[in-house]
Amino acid sequence: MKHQVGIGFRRDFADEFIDNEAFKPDFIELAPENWIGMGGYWKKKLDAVAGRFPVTCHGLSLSIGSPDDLDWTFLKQLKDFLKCYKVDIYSEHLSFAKADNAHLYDLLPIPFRDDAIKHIVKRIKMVQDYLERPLVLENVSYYTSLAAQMTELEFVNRIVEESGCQLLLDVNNVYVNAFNHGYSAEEFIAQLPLDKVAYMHMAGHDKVSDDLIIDTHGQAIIDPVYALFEYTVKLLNKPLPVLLERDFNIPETHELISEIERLKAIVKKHWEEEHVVER
Amino acid sequence: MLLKDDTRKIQEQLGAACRIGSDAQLELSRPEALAHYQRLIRNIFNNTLETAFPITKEWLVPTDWQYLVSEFMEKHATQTPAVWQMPREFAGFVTANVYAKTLNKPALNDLLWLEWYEIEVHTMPDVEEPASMKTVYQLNDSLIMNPYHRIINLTYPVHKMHADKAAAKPGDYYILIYRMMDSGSVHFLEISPVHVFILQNIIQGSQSLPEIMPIVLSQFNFDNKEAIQKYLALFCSDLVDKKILIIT
Repeated sequence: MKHQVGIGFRRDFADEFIDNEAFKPDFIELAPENWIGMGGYWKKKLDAVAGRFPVTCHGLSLSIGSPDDLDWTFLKQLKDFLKCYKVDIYSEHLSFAKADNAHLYDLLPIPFRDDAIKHIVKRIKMVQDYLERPLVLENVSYYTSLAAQMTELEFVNRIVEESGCQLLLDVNNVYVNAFNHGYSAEEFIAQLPLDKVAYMHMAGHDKVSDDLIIDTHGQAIIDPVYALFEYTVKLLNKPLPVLLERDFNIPETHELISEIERLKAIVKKHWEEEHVVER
Repeated sequence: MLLKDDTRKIQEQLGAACRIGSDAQLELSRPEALAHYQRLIRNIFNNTLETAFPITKEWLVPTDWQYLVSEFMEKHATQTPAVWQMPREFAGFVTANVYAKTLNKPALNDLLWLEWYEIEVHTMPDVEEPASMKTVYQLNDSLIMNPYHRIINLTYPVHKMHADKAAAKPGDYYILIYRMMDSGSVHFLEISPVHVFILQNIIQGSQSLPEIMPIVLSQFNFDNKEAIQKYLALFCSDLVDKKILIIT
């Protein structure tokens, strides 16, 4: 799955994955929570798509940064699901989605604090041990920091360093956060532990005001994010799987194909050239 | 405990602020962003519940619907990690807290559960499906039930009329909700208490109608065994045709 470009599998355009021969992402990504325990019509669709494309999983409800206990029943179901669909990469978000015993179904910012790091590092290790695989954690977009005592960069880097987890580098999220919080996206990326990046996300967003962008996955990727992606690809200097996220406002399939092709052209330009040079 | 109490409390306060709009003094670098989190989370609850309960949402006036969603978000701690299963908790919450009475909508609970069970049957986990030995029913055939089904008891006939009209017709309505094993489509069938009894016996392991007949006659005080057996055989035959009952 190295240096391949995939797309998120969504029911809104599930049939395109099965029937449209021109639609050939290298792999698909899905949220296991949306499929665990599901049978019938949609299970058949999932099985058909999983029979055509390799599958990666990107979770929503692990809530690794939650103050609440880990949900071992869910983790057991998750492990079975990952095994069933032969999933190599299971990624999640460096955020919390549950607090005070209530799921919120959205990604909230963790306080950038030393005790939160220690708490999360322990949880990551527990999850990795149980799932018998490295956890790949995404730098999330956030619209405000919460009682922070350090920078986002220090927080992310320490989590990765101390837990041994891998990093899902969401380039659009870096762009969104840099815009919203006034820092340099390029400098942020350059200071990440790039050797720990195992997977990348690209997506579109919505600018809701002069000083705020929301990470909606509901628009096409804009040129500055492509530019940031190319900058990142050059820095990474190693082939990695890249995913196009599109969750809302789904366009005609040919537009998605164009986005995939543009991402492929960038990775091919840098990663395949590097490969030839190495020979 | 590696997480300090104050960090835990801060996270819980943010969660509560997003879920119920509590006005705790949070240390936010961009306080105005809280409203975006609240809106995003509210949208997730709204969209999920509207998708699960389109008929209920259409039936209730918008203020009543939004009231129920708000009450649910404020007073119920959602337990499922799978957002698509969250509507089941909503139906349970509305039922347990008698909002049908609060809103003077007697058929509310029945309509919510009818809509939820359609989803539940549609998505029931796949199991090994029984193979049918033949397709034309005969009286002594051994029968088993299509594994994808639910038999529910409604007080109001919301399965066949507008919920306001159904509220004027309280009674005992039994609905068999089943999923076709081949297409995965879900269907509803109104059945009688005797039919329910027959199906429950088949589910519990009785195999053929003649086996069940003695208890049917005694349970329901039927005198004319021949007539009732003929009537129930037609029912079984119909359900075999519909692939709800499978001849083994």
